[in-house]
Amino acid sequence: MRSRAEWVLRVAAVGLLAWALWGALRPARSAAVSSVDAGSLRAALARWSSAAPPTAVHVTLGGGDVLPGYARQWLMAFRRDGVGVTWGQPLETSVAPLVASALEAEAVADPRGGTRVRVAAPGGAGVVVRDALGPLDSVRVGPRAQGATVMIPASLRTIDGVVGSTPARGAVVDSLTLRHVLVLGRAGWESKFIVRSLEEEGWPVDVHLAVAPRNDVVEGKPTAIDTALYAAVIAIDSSVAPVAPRIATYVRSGGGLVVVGSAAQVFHELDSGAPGVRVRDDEGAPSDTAPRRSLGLMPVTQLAVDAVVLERRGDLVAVAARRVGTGRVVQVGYDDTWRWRMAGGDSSATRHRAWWAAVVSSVAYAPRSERPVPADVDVAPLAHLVDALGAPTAPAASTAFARRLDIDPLRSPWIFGVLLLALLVEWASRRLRGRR
Amino acid sequence: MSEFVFATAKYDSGDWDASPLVPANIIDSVARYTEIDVAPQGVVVPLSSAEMLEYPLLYVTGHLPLRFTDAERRNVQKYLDRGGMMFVDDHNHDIKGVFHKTATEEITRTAGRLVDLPNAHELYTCFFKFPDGPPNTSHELNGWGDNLIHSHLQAVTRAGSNRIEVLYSSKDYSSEWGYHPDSKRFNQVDNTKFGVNIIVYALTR
Amino acid sequence: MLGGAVVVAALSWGAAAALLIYSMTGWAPGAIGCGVAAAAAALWRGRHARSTQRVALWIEEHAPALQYALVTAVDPRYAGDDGGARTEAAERALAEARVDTLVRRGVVRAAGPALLALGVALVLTVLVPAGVLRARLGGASLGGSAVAGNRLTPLRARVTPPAYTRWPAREIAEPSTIAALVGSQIVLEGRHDGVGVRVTVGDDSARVVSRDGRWQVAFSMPATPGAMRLGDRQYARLIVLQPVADAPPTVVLTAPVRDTTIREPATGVLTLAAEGMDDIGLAEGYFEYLITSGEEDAGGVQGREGRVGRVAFDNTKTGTMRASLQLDALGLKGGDLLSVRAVVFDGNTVNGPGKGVSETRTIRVATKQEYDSLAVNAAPPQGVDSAYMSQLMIVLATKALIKREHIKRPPLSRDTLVYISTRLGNKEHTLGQKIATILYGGGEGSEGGEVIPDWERALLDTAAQALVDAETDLDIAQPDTALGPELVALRALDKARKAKRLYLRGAPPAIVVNIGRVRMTGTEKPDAGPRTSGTVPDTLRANMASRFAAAVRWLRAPRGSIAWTAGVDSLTMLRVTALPRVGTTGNLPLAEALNDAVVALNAGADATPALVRARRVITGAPTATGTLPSWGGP
Repeated sequence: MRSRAEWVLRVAAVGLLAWALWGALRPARSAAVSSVDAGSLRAALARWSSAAPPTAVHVTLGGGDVLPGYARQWLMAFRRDGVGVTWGQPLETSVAPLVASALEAEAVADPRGGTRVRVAAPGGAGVVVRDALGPLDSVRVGPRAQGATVMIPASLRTIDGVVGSTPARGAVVDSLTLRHVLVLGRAGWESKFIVRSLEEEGWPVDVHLAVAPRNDVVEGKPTAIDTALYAAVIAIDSSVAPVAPRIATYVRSGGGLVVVGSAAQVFHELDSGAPGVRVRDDEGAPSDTAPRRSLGLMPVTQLAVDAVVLERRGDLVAVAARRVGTGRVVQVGYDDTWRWRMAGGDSSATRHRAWWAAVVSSVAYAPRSERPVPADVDVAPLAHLVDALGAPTAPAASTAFARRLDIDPLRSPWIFGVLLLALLVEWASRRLRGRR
Repeated sequence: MSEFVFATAKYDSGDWDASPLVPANIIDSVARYTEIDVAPQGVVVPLSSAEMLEYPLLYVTGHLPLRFTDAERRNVQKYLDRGGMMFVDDHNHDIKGVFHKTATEEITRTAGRLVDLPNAHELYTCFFKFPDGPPNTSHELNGWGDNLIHSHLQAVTRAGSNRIEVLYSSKDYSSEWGYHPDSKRFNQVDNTKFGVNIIVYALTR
Repeated sequence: MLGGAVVVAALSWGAAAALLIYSMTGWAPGAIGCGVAAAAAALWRGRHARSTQRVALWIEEHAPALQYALVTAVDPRYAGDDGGARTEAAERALAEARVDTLVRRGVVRAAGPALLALGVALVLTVLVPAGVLRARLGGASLGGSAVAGNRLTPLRARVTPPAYTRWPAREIAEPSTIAALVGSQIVLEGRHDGVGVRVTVGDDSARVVSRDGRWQVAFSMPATPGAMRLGDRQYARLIVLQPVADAPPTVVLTAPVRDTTIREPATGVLTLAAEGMDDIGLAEGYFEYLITSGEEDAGGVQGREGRVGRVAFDNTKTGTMRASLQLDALGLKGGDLLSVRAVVFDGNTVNGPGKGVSETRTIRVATKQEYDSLAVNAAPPQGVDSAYMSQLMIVLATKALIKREHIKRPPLSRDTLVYISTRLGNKEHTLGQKIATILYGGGEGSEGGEVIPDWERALLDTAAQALVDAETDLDIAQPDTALGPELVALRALDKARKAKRLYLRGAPPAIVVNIGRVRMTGTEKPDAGPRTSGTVPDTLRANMASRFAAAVRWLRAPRGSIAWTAGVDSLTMLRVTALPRVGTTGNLPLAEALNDAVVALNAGADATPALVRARRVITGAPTATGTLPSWGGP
């Protein structure tokens, strides 16, 4: 009797082992649709990859959830393997819908550094820009605008832009090489204070200021106006006429040019428009609220077709820009911005400097060197998601697969426990009988 | 484009207009030697008024005490912070005199310490060359005032740089240049050249 | 001998163990117990050395030549059988086998290691600075307990302000920052003995003393902000020293309230009043006056100073000063200027008393010519009048020179004659230019002034020509020949000034230069030199930004790790950089934000808001627009 019982136990143990072997060798079995949220997706992906994946997978993204790049690639691989992959958001109204957005971050051509962040987003959307430390700034997209711009006076590497609750991450992927700035014109207050402001900003400045015949004030060796030497040229007045052709060549080969006031008279092919008659509307001192309202202005008239208006004063165009060849030209109608610095409000010197730095950086030629892109960058999360997995859908119903006991023998701890117990009891019984 | 306007500073405490012919003489010299766009006539601008900020180079002179009011001091500080430059000349040529004592005290209190300007400074080479530093004046050579020939001018410079904010002279250029410009023809050597250097320096540095 | 060696070894092992245990822990009973146990173990191990048979066996084992003679000799079973023959045989065998050497070696092997261990224990005890035994030998008091883990917490700082402030001392518990007036005496103390505690204030080490069971360090608040570094074995701490400068006092002159002009004779009493203020306390004050008289062309401008109304304040924060000036006593004359101002001092004895001065009030004594002017402004000297005075002085000087030239004893040297004569010639030249100015004051394009009548112009022309002649003679050191033309000029000027007053009122003459006529007509040759960039860009901000970014990176490490601690310390040092010091106003918002961040980090709270605030102060605020411009411009 006992010996038969032992045989039964042996058979049971062998049977269990055979079942485990069969479980390891059998092909993947189908299962019902598996629904998972973003938080548990990573574990689920790992599980499906090492055991039987479901027939179909539906990923539910809550407000603020986006699929990281690796998850998208992983799901695409399942899809190629025949698994139906869909995604969507919960139907509850409390969950913020994902917003289509895109983020671009680039370095500003300025010795103090800086990062310009552009976020494409729907009109009226709220945009929060942040980095690893914390929030940087927030802004609301204008009702008819397509996005927002944030200028950050620090050189950052990765930036997050959250539109609604949809986070995008961008990175500054190039570093800039800055060259000198060349200032040309007659000696005067405007040239003096433009040079002073740029030097305070950190720009190395070469100058050639006309004082007397054969006695100009020179700094640097401005023998060649070339992109190898200069990031930008600033022409203060019409005294630059003798070198205008060289400057034009420089611009066409990629250089940046700022044309101030009457200098526009000598750059017909480069200007955004013709310089108008000088006006000065407000005789008072420049104020902090409208610092350039009382400055002398030679307005930009007869705008070129491809000119971009950067600033207006009333009906007059004060600053305009255009591309010429591979270079950029900004035409500044103000010819006495020095008065803003000297006679303006409390922060006039700082603001004057920042304004001129921005003008120069908007045209500066700065060769770029690429940097590696961090792996976690996702500049347009919703677009990438739709591109990978299609448009969002509602979660699919369960299929009509028969439900049967579907125990994985390799993962069930009970099977192992029973097997061990059977073997132990059989052995103990045999030994207690005195048999080997 | 703005022209250069020679501005004389008017202050409350003394005889700010002690040398009324200097502006015209220097304007004349600037026109004779340079192509700088210069206004044919100088202006007088009170230090207590914000209007002084519209003239980034100011000429200050006198015989009597120079003591800033609170409003004048505030304006001068703002003016120098933003890049303005003042040329202050002791019309007494007397370092024991009231103008020198009070002016140097006010300048130190308002702008910073006055130190001797090296005679190799680019003020002396920016247009005309003055290899020996500031040219001497006839009052110095006459033994007028303190009976000294001052070999240096003094200056307050911006921290960390050699940019002059306040240029101070004990040499009495106000007397040296205080004559009608038409009288230049009586001079063998034009003694206003250094004034041109000051203007060129202010406009280009 | 072997037995003795075992005993010595046992004692040595025991002593070494006890020494080491006590040195490390200071626990005497434990040290004694360990020592006894070690000695007992050693004794037990060497117990066989007491047995003669065992020793004999040991010797026989190491000296086979004995051939058991010794063992047999000591075996009590065989004692007395042979009348001592075995003993004699054993002694002979022992002598031949040189057993004494063997035994000596055994003694060394038994006692040597133990003695060595004892020596090592003694050396370690002496060398380890924090050892208890060493501390006892050094006479330090331990308070009957073992050294606590971290002697850098809790700390207490006692701040005693400089005596002149009369402020009471105060205590700060657990300071992360000590803010105090420059020159304040600070005593920082912590618990337990100070041996091994290291303190540096800036770059200098401070002396740590032990008193009443506590360690202390005393120093004076420096003038510049800095960090105090404390170290105790593996513990470290940073305390920021934030000096507070004693601001100079201020004073407002309340009387007279404005400038004024008075007539001659200047009599009466001028009331002076002022209000002084100081952040700590005023020491003294007075009124200062300056009388300026004279004119440039008449001997020059002179000044004399004086003080009145000196008052001593008893370290009060505000004070009133009153005084009066008797104008009669000042001897003021027409054209004089009386300038008054108030001066106050505080009681700062650390880096000198601070001085405050008020605005200046000016009292002018009008000249008779100014009486009928509506606006009595300081007018330029009257042209002909001053020219006459100047020429009169030159004539007097020339006469004196001629007289001196004719004195034989002592003779006037040629050099001196030339020098004085040439100086007079220069003065004539200057005066000649002035006459030319008066002559051309009504010239082309000029405005203002009065038209000079022809007869007066003729007089001035005569004077101008005579001055040129006089100058020529003086330049060649012929003062006697020059005197004639000088007198001609003097008479002409006298006639001109007596015949008609010529003076300018109000605004100076406005000369308009004919730019077009004179443009580029200069005869001198310029040689413009190169420009150098003298502007220094602001690198401090970039430096602080990079230090801040590095500190934030380190803060990502686990809390309490070395990198994290380095990040906190780095923020503390950055805060020191942001504090005001002599010559700079510092960056107080940044210092406050960094302080908040460090406090939060040390308390385990969220420091993100403070760090974001600090970053914004360093780099500036971003600017955002709700559009996507088509040009990356301003």
